[in-house]
Amino acid sequence: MSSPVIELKGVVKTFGDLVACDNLNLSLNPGEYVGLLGPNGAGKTTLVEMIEGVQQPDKGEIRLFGKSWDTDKRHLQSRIGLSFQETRFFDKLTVKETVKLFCSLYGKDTHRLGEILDQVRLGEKQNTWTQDLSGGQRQRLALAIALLNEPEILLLDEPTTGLDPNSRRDIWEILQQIKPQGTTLILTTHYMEEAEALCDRILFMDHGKILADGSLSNLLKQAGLSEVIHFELDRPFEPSTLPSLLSELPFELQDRRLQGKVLVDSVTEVLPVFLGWVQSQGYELKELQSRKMTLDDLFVSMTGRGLEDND
Amino acid sequence: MIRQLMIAQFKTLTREPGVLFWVFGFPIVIAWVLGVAFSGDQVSNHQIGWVGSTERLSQTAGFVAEPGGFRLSGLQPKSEVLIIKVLSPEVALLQLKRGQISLIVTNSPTGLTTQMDLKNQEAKVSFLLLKSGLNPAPSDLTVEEVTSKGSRYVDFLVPGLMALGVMNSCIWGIGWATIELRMKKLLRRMIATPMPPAALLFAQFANRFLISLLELAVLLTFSYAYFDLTIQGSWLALLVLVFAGNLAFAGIAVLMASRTSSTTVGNGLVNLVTMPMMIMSGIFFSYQNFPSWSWPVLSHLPLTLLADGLRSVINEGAGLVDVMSSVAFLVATGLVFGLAGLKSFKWY
Repeated sequence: MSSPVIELKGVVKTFGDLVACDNLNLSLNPGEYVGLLGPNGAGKTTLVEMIEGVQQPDKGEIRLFGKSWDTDKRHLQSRIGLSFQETRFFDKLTVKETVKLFCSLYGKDTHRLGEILDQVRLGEKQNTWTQDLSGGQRQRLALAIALLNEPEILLLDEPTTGLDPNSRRDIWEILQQIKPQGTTLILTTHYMEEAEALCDRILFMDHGKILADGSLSNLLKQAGLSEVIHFELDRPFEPSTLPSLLSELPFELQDRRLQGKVLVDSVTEVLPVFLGWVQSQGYELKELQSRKMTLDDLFVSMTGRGLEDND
Repeated sequence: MIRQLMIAQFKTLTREPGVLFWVFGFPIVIAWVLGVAFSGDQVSNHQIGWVGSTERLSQTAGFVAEPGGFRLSGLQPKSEVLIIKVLSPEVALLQLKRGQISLIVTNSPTGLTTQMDLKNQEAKVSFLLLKSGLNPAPSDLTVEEVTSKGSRYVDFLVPGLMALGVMNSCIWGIGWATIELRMKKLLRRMIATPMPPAALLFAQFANRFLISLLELAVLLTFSYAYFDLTIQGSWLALLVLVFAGNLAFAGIAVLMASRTSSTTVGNGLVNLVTMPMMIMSGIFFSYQNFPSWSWPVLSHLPLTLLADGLRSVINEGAGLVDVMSSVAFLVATGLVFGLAGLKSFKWY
């Protein structure tokens, strides 16, 4: 087993009363694509910025390639690539000029310029002022800058937030294309599909803590529940009358208990019992849906709130 | 509809404390500052120089002898006071060049000759006051327009404008630009590269210095073509002064831009730094129009030091040695403000 490229031990960061990172321990292997998921205010950005050396932890240790930010700042900066949330560039520099500038800041010559621009599909836009780029193009420019030093670790903070589905997919494709190079990726997002599409490993974060850590299939398996039943009734759901097979299940109710959702391990087993109960109680079933469980369902079951919710 | 629009716009105005200050507070501050300069017993002092015998003054009612010269008060309007400094011809010329006096009257056997720039409003007012004080106006009082280089109002003005250019270039080009970089999160993105942070500031400074050299060249060429203004002193002194001036204002700009990432606050800071100096540093009129107790402070403002230094080189033929104390003061200002700014600088 190769040694971890990123290692966090007992990392704590607080802002006044708010604990942004609460005693975090984490170890990442080379080449892993890691999705850091959580709602706004979960502490994702703080965690990523501490790994980037932009913020310092109050307590604990962060090591990249076994080196610390305190002693090897320049060295680490040259080996990682990053993009912050919503960076804007010099309005009246072109795409090409902007990438050129950052090449010089990284001490890289510009012979890869065309290659980089092609990689993020901005070749045709290279002479456009950055102020005239669309949101997706701007994010791809940020990605170009993150990639130009051929980083071994790539840290992207919400690279697709606010983008339309097509632009989002463009970014995913670029990230999938560079995967064979062995880059380690940490990506924060509150889009489930993003983590599902890109990441080998998913970290759930909320209130400064890592709640779950594993591959998508592992996480879903761990929960032991893999399917979801959604329903809507004509009058409030009364759990006290549920038969024994159903009473232990984690029902989540909404809209004055008229709507509900329940995670189950087997729909074929549970659904007939549920329908029988509905009939015996004289409910009218206004809507019924059954589907495979997603990360979103899992997250809600763990935290009681959705990933795209705000604090 | 119009009413609701007005209410909404008014609310956005009143909920921005910075804007409130610039709309209501700032004009009051300026009114107060200029009020100190132009009102009360101090302010409407018009200073002129007198060369030669003063017999005529001591014999005329209204002219009261005082140390260094005479004072003419009791004029219409009542607040106007004419101060007549008795000077040697050389000192009178120097003070005229520095804007400390607006005209020179030379009393010679052939009569009273007034040397003044007819384009200078202050000189005209002083001349009229003198004329009314000498009532009836002496028949031998003649006016000679000052045309010798270095003594005209434009000679006073152009170096001041150069200094103003250096200040604005640094405050906007370094101060404001840095605040904008921070606002866009571009500053932190650049700092997250292996680039040393100092490189960014150095590049900004070097840029500003080059731009101010260009500005200097343009203004000098224009002034030479239109006003026949030439540099009487040392070119090296001029360059060193401009460099030191850039350093001083770069330092101030770094301190100004050290914390904020809000361009609204940035706007306020720019005004806060530039406006007082623009008014009080003697760019358009001599700071000696302000009360004398304020002179030691005003004369050491960086913009005053730079403007006066440039004037001495361009108009009075000063060399490097003559401007060395100004240069030292400017460099020290830049270092003190710049280091203070770097100490509290928010890179991320």
